Amino acid sequence: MRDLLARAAVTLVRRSFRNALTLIAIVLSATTITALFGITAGSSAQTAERFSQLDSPIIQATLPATEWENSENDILQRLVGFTNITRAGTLDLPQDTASSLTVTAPRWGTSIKTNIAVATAQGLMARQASITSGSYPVSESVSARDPYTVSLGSRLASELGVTASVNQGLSARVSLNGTEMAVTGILQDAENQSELSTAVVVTPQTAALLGLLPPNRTLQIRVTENAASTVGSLLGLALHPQDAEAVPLKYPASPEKLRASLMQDSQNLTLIICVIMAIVSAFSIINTMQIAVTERRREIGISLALGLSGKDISIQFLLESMLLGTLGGFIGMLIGSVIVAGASLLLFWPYILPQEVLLIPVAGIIIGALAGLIPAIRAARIDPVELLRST
Amino acid sequence: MMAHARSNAAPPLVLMSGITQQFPPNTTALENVSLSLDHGQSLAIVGPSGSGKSTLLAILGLLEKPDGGDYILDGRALGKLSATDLAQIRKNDIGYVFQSFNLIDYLSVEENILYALTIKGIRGSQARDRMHRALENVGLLHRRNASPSTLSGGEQQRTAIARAIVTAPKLLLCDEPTGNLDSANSNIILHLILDSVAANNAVIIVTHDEHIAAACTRRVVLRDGHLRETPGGGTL
Repeated sequence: MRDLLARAAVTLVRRSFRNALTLIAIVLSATTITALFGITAGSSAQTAERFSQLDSPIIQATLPATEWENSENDILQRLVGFTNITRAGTLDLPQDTASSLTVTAPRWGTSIKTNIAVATAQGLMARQASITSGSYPVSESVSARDPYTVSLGSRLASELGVTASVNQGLSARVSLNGTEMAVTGILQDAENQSELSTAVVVTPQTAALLGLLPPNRTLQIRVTENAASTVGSLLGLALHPQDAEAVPLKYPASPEKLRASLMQDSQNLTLIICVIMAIVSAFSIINTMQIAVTERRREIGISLALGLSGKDISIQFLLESMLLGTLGGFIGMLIGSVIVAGASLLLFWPYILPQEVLLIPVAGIIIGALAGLIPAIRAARIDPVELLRST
Repeated sequence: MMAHARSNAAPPLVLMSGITQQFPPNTTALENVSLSLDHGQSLAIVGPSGSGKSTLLAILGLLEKPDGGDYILDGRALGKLSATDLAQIRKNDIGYVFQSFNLIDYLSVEENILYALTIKGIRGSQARDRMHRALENVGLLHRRNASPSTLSGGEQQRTAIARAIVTAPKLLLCDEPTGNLDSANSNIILHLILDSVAANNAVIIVTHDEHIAAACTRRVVLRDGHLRETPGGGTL
């Protein structure tokens, strides 16, 4: 076997020009597979990380409409026992309220159709929306002169031309569907968020007066890192002891679960591509070995005449195709790993190379063996007598 | 009729009797061929094209099994041996020289010779020593690293002879060894082949060349699958 392996290796090297294209095809396949494994792992991790950055660590609890009758303090009292909750408050985002209205700046006569968000100061702070001018909307500040107050998203305020007035502490007024209101502040939405920047933000009291209360009351509950699932599992019962199921919760997926889920999806895709690449490589090897058998009939005959058995010839051809598959798989794995490293450096992804890529050279052996089987059997059946009859 | 050895002092190296070989659909290549060859003899098989010479050589070299008859090589009956056993005997006891040289083109001269030794399980310094001596014998030591494609026809055949004799086979089979060579090279090759014959081995040469046949100790004629001994061997 040692001699046959040595002969197979020598033959591969000496016939390197003949084997080069097949080797390149296998290397390309192995490189692609390795790069796919690595890049999808890295990009999935990166995507998961970005998702987790976007969503963490806020839990949204959707309370039934009857909860609008309770004060926010009453509701927040139910969360007192949760040490992992750092801040909580009411915030129905524009997509939750599904209400749109026309806002007009009377001074300039600018009218914009936009969405409304219903929020308390606690809710906005829980989201980490900040006030750039003025103050958070406070329901207690309602006065006889200004029964309605409103905050504006920064972009909306800019469009309406009221930013400068609010910045200077001057009175700014807008009209919502014809009802005049005092602008108390301008809001900057949380980092990486934009829904509030174009919204009109009113307190629940103002929304009630305007008849714009959303059908549900949404609590934004900020929790400490990695506590979302723990808090979430108890939150329904705390907020609505009569029927915990009546309080739908939306909380961020854990980065690990999200990463695993994304990785699974991308690995499924990678697997399909791997199978296709493996089949292409196998056919490439079959083709090369079939041609080799045809081209090397004379050599096979000589070897048989010199004393090799048909079985030895088969094994030698099989070893050649296995070496070809292994070598191609190994080189491809190395090149693919470098490509993954390069991509992670350039794109600032984490460098993740799944352990599975170590199986690529092993897969090369198996594919080589399977692909070399038919040519090897064919090689053993060559009649050496042809040598005697050929001139 | 059996083509027999002239000397009966020792058991023959080759003893064939009643060898028959047919090819479909209805061609008889060999019919009831019997042949005996002693150690130290050289035998020329002559005959027209299609007379069955190559078939007989293939059977003698264990590359083909006859349809009928018995073949005993160096006292061992070969009829019931497996393909692996036959390969083992080819490896240890038989050497081949072909008309078309049949060197492996991607191996150098010395590697072609080492290849035969490796198949026989001879490696390392012993193999290199043997290779060195074989190339020295055929006068090709200076071309040891050359590729076969850069050799002349005579040099290629000398390499093929070196490859055949380096394993010290008991039976050297040569199929038209000078068929592709000019007369000067033919003489060199003939002498190399006949010089390899010693007390413990023998050579069989299939040839059309009367000069070669005359140089052998014995000569048989194969015609239409029938073999008969003829005088004229050893007259050169």
